[in-house]
Amino acid sequence: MVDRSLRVRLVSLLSGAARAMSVRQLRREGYDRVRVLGRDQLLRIVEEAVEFTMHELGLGDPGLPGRLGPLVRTRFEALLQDVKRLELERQSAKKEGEDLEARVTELRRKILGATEDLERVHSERRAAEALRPAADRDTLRVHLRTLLRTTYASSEQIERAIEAVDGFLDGEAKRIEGLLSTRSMDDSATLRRRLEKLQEALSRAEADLARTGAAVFPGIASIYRTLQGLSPAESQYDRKRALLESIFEANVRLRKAALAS
Amino acid sequence: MNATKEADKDAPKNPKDKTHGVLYVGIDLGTSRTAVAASNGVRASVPSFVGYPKDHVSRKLLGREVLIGEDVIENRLALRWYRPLEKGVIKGSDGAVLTPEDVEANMRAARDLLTHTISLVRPRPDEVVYGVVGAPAQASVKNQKALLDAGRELLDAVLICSEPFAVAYGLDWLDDVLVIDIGAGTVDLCRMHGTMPEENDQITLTTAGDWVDEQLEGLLRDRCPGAQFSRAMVKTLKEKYSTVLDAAAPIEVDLPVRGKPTRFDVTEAVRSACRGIVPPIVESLGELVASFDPEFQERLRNRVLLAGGGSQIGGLERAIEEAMRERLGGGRVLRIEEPVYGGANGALKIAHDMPPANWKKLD
Repeated sequence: MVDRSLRVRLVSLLSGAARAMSVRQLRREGYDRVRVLGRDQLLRIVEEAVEFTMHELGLGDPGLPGRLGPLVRTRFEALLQDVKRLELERQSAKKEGEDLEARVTELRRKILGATEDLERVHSERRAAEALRPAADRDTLRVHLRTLLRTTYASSEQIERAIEAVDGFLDGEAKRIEGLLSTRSMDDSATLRRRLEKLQEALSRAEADLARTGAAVFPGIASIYRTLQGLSPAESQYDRKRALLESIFEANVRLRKAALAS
Repeated sequence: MNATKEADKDAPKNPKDKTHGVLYVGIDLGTSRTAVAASNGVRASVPSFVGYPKDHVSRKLLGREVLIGEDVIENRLALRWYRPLEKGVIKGSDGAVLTPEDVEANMRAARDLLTHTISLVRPRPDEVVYGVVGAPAQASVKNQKALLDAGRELLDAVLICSEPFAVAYGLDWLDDVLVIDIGAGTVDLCRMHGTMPEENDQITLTTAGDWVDEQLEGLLRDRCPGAQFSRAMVKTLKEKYSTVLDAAAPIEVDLPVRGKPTRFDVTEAVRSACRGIVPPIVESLGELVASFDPEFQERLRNRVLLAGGGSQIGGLERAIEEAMRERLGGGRVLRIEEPVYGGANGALKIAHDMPPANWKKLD
């Protein structure tokens, strides 16, 4: 048996490395049922694995467990510390990622708001364009002339009056257009500058987010470093091997058919 | 999606540079829900919905070009959205009447769904990724080719296999077993007898989850006068309360009537719609049992596995057993432990067990 101090140390390390998850959280991640492996059971497995490996290697020296104990302990401790460190890194990266995501979302909302403001200013400008009286000026003159002819005014007086109205309308149109144009130009320029700044901030935040994701979290490694394949120790080995071969052949046929089409 | 794109960007250009390890992935691409399990211990499932922003404003607001799963359901009013799989295969790949644009859009949506599904298991860019994708039992060659095309763009090598077979293989039940895989689009029944199932070992029914939704919608229209509801609401209701049990607790739900939430008892409607899938299943079970070697028919009747999201209907295994007693003189039905992940787990086991030489030939 592995010595008692190793056992105590393993218990403490396992408790430190374990992560608590609520039933609700598990459900949210799609787990309806989980298999539970008790801590003591895990310890027994580790102890048995050590003893089994020693036995397999023909290491029958009765003093060997005592000598191997510290080595196993160091290795196991290192592995558990790694798990703990990775978990802390994962949590910190997750927090950082969430903050960045919140910032990116906020910036996107601001950009959307600024785009809408700019669009509103453009609409006002278009409305001002519509206010220009030039198109209807001739019609107005005709109506005015017809109306004034019903009075005792002479032709000369009528024309002078029409000119006066024309002059007044020109002045007013210029004044309104000037006012609107200055305001919309100012608003438009401010909004454009704001949009550019927001876009820059968004690009920076998105780049940070991408860097955080790539640098801190390169993906979760598979438990396999090499190709596996069916183990000869598996139950129904021959039958399974034949079935796997059938699946492979069917896929090769499918691939050929796909290429042919 | 971003994670995958980032991973793609950093991925070694030459597959031979992927020296870190081998990631096996098992995927059950379902009409309603797609599940994935991988050899890095990650597994996940996502509703099979794909959406794209309708216009510039929604694109700015949502901040993404593609949305998948729950995000699509939440933002569907701002999206052009697709459910790219129909009856378990990519919509339009089976020659259904769709415009070429619709076929292309569904293919793109299926690819995006698969990309997202693979990104969920967070593969390392320097690992070789080999995947097995489950297809419905009777998917045509054209259907399978469509799945293969989508998979080959994303995985270093991909294999297609029958979904019910994957479920049985995952559980090590290879002999004299009948698998009923109840999905949203199809119910696949598959007879296993130690060899690869052939065409006459498999029956596909369309009286599946979507069909139950349709039936329930009709019953609610009859029995809840004035109530306003959508198909999505009916689906949610079914997923929460589905049962075939006589002794089920009363199911009371609030549905709007002219904008006012009104309480309705829908127990009988839910039970009746869910029970509708039992007769066709038992009829098909009968056909598969009757055409089997008489010496092993009893064993087959007593080894029926119930899998798929639809198998979560309360009391379904007992209702099938009861109907089997009347139609076939008895039988035993066992619901698998993890209905949602049964297909993905089995596909992962097939990927792991496949001889390395075979993977290399496909790579």
